[in-house]
Amino acid sequence: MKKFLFTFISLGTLCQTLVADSIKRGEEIYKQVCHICHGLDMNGGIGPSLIDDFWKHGDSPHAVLHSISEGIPNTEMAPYKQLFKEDDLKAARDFILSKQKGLRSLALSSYPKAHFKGKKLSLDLLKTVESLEQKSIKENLIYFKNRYDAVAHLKADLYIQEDGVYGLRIRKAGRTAVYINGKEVLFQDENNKSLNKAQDFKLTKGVHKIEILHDEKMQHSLKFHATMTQEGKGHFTLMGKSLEGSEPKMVRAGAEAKVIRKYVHDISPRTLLCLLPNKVLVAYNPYSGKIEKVWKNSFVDQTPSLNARSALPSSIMGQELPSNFHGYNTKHKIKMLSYQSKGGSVLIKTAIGGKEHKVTISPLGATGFSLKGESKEAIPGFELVHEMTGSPKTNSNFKIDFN
Amino acid sequence: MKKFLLTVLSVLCTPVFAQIPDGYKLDTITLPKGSISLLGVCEKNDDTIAICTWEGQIWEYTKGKWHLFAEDLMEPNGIYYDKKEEAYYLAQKPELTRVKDTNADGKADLFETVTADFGYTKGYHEYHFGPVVDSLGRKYASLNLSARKVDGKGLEVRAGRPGEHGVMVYTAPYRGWVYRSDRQGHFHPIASGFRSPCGIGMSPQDELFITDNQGDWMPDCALFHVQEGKFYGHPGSLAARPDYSEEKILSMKNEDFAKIRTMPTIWLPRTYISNSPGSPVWDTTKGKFGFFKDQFFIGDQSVSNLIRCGIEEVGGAYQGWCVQFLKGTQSGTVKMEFDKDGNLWTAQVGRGWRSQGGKRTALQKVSWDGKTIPFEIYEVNITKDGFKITFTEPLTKKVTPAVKSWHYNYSAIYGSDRVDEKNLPVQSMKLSKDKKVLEIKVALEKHKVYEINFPEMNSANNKKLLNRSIFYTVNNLLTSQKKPKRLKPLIPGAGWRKNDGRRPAPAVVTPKSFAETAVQTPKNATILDDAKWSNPNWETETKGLWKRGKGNFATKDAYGDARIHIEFMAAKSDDPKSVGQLYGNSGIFLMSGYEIQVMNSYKNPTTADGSCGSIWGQAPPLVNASRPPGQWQSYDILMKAPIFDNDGKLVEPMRATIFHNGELIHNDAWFYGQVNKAYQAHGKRPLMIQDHKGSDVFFRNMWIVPNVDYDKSLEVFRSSFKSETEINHNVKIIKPITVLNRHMVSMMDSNANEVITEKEFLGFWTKQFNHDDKNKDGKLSPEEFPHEGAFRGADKDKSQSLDREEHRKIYSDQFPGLDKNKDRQIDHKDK
Repeated sequence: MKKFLFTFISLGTLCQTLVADSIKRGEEIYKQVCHICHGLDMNGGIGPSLIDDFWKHGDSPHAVLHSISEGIPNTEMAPYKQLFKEDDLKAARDFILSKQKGLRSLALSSYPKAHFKGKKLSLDLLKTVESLEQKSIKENLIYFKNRYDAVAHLKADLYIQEDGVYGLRIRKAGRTAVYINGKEVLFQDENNKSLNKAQDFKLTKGVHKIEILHDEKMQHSLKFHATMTQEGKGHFTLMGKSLEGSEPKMVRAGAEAKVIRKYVHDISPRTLLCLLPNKVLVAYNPYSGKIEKVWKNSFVDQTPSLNARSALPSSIMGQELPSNFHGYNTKHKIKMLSYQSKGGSVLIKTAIGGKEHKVTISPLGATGFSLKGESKEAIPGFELVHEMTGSPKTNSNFKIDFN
Repeated sequence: MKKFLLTVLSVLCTPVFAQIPDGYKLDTITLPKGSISLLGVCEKNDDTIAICTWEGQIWEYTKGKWHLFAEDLMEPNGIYYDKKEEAYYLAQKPELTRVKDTNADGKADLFETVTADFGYTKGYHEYHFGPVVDSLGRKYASLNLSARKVDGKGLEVRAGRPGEHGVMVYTAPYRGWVYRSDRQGHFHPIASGFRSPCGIGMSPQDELFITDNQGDWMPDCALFHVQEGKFYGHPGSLAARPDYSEEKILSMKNEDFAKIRTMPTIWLPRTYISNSPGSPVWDTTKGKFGFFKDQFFIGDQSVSNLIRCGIEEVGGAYQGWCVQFLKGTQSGTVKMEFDKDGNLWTAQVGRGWRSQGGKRTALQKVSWDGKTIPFEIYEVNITKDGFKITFTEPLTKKVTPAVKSWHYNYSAIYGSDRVDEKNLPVQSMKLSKDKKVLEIKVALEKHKVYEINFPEMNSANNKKLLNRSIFYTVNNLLTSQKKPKRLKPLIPGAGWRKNDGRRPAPAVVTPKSFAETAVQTPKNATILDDAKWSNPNWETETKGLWKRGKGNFATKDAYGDARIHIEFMAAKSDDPKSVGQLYGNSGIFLMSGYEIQVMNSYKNPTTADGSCGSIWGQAPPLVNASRPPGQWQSYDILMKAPIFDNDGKLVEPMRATIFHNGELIHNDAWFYGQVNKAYQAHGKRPLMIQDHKGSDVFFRNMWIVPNVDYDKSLEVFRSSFKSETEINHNVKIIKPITVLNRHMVSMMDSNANEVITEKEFLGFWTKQFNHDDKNKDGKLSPEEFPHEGAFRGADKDKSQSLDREEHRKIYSDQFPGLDKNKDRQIDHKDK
């Protein structure tokens, strides 16, 4: 076994030198074409990010190549086999893969639990049992199945960007053994803590083989959380959490304004997230009359909340704008009567001391918005809070542009 | 080997072997892509079923096709479709929302807040369940407590339970309550003491029921009959009651809470019946779903089953039984609804708590074939000396069941074991002629759960008994007392009959002085002087002072919508007959028919819905704000006349908001009819004051502003008697601190003014010392304070421990670093 592994690793190194030229060529192609949709930093734009953990159409070298050459139907991703030679397509793929960090090309098998009962989880034990099922996982997520009758065996490529000494930490989540390039680097067993161990290991830049054996524990949420630490460099999350087959969800601006109700860190409860067609997101709290935060070029990533009963916050992606416009104070309690998307704007009706007040949030230019307040009756004690010279301060009928 | 593997696989893939009664089937509906977990289901119309999802969508299912109606909502935990208004009502986490498609393009576009008058912090478990609706169309919903304190704040009632966490926390107003809100801006809290009231249901008789999950202060899963004003066991929510303060609640012990709590109608024993029960739904299908008329069904999220229940009134309160109906749903049921064809739709979610069914979510439909009678225990009734068990099919012979009983401990500790569990001998048995009814004699005790378990057996028609255990909750024993011939009418949604002496009296508050609550007479008010009243019998020698006299006292003019002020005084009386309803009784009859009670309710107990300030026979005042007899008191009333259509049918009921001595006693309350009479179409009518038996009552300073726009004036009127600071609920917009993260700010900034003084800063950290000092030796070891650098820096004497002084020094040194502009406080100017 050991011998075989050595050969395997040296082969891997050899392959790496061969692809080095290919990566260079791939970068050229990426900078010609791909970056338009996927961003220069590969963080995504019109198209999805190419360096995060979600690979809707597969993250194996084969699957990535397939997506590039055949395109994705019903999207703006065209079949590039019409434009480039196969070598160039592969080069683009190699370049994209060279920027990966963490797990890719996941394959999951499961084995009858009884086989491991009373024994330490190990790869050797796998040799004497037949698997119940095997499947590849498209998205780069550890997809243990909320299945407590089987031991899972996950095989994946581990992409490392830098030579160094690494460590691995796994949140307590049942019996687990982790192997890197065939060598056990971590074992934990909550019932027999004396067996628990984790050791640091050296890894070179490149692709490594990782295998995880996991005896899933019954628990409230489906978490299997591992972080990889690099000596002197901090850490990164190795795997996400199971989305249980659902797709990552990003809510992006559309032709109509959207009002999104989601739990987001550092935003008051009951705040309305108003995503305008120009991708400006105004977090407006109608109960306090306060503009909590503003972003441009934004979208809402709801993925973290999906498998967590919405207990984990969604995140607002984009660039937060420094605000010199904070909202308004009133003498009375504000009641929200309704919210409504109207064309490109959001219309919010409130009652302040029994008097109706309308607030309209509309897009302005590429990165701004305007806030319009209207009331038929004067609202006593109404006071706008901002640092914008020349703009009104005390009238509940107002319009302020924020650019 | 292969064969063996296949067997293993098939066993693994069917985690629960479905147990479905004869004649019933379970169909699975394929869900739309992207719909992740169901939280609610309702029937929109004959063709369409709607669901709502945890991820915030409403989907409509019409003839096998799914259509996305709304999205980006916040965790809606229940959905109802109002066919008249053509709108959905949705319990979004932050508010109860009415969702409408105003331009008929098939997508929701208007989201109206019905109510947000309950607190909601960022505590994750602050779920909002509902709404359900009574026959008057009014909406009811329930509010979960928080699992943890939020930013260190919240009322956690441990009553001696050691340790930390594990007790649900009251973090914001009306958490742990059930409320009613039937129109925009209206909020009426009904009952407190719930923990995680996931199940909410309305019986066909307009009685509200709640199911709760076992845990702290909830010894086991249970179904509660909700009666307005009562407390159901979890103490945190008492904080919202005017007669309880935080200090009072924290000083109370288990036995104090036990005295005031109301026991469940039915215990739903853990594991056997329920683990996380959902909403009850009544079989109103008129036989389309089988022979279980008047019974109700509850689904369970963990056990992946449906149970069947029934109740009976014994000793003036409900109690009843539960039996499993069906087991092996794909996931776990939270909400259900019968469609017009009598199919039972079940919205299921297992995520988070994991359901035995194994699937994350499912939509399944239970239906009956219209003919087959399954062999089941139909119901159980208590008898004087045992139980009467009715079966759906005749038995072959007398069969002796195994009978057990037990009760539960009530405390802050999670759940309770069965206490004093014992097997009870069946003393004798009797089988009816048709062999369907078995009467057994066993020893009965109050406040016990009984399990009646039959051995495996077949009916006379050779059907197997599927569910062999039935559980009966005994709250009361049958007495020989005869039931009253004519029961008083049920007050819709309140859970009480009219004038029930057991209805909790309103909390007593001390009102402000008469001078402090005096109101100026508005310029447009009509002063009701002698000339305006038609009955001279009430006049006294003093002009402007009237004494209750012979005959009712009515104005000559008729009025509709109005703002009314009345001052009254129940004279002090030493007559021993002046007790209860005879101490100063009169009444303000709005529009000559809708009565606000006038009497002395200062230390003079009477029925809650007959006390001073009550809408007589319908609703007690929110608080008892009475002044002692002999003192002048005031009513300030804003009222809206009922609206009738041309055929005399009621369109909108009478509403009023009322202050008694400056205290709000009715908050936009709804009248169910005239006093002792149903609604009858009428126009404007005189204001009338009632003549009644009893000690003397005086009136003075009465005025009316006619034709007031009720809805427009309501908000301002509601805040009439509160000072400016009391009504200023808004957090002033203050620029936020940026040098600390928000979590730290919310914990340190005690008055939320975005200014942290050195005192607040050090106060927070010195408290932290006590928290970190786990072994309570007054010192922090490196394990207790695992910040190596700071530890070394502060541990001047190299004792390998920090005392309070050293610990404090760390933070007093840190403060100037955060206070960048050296103004001795951390605020937004520090950047």
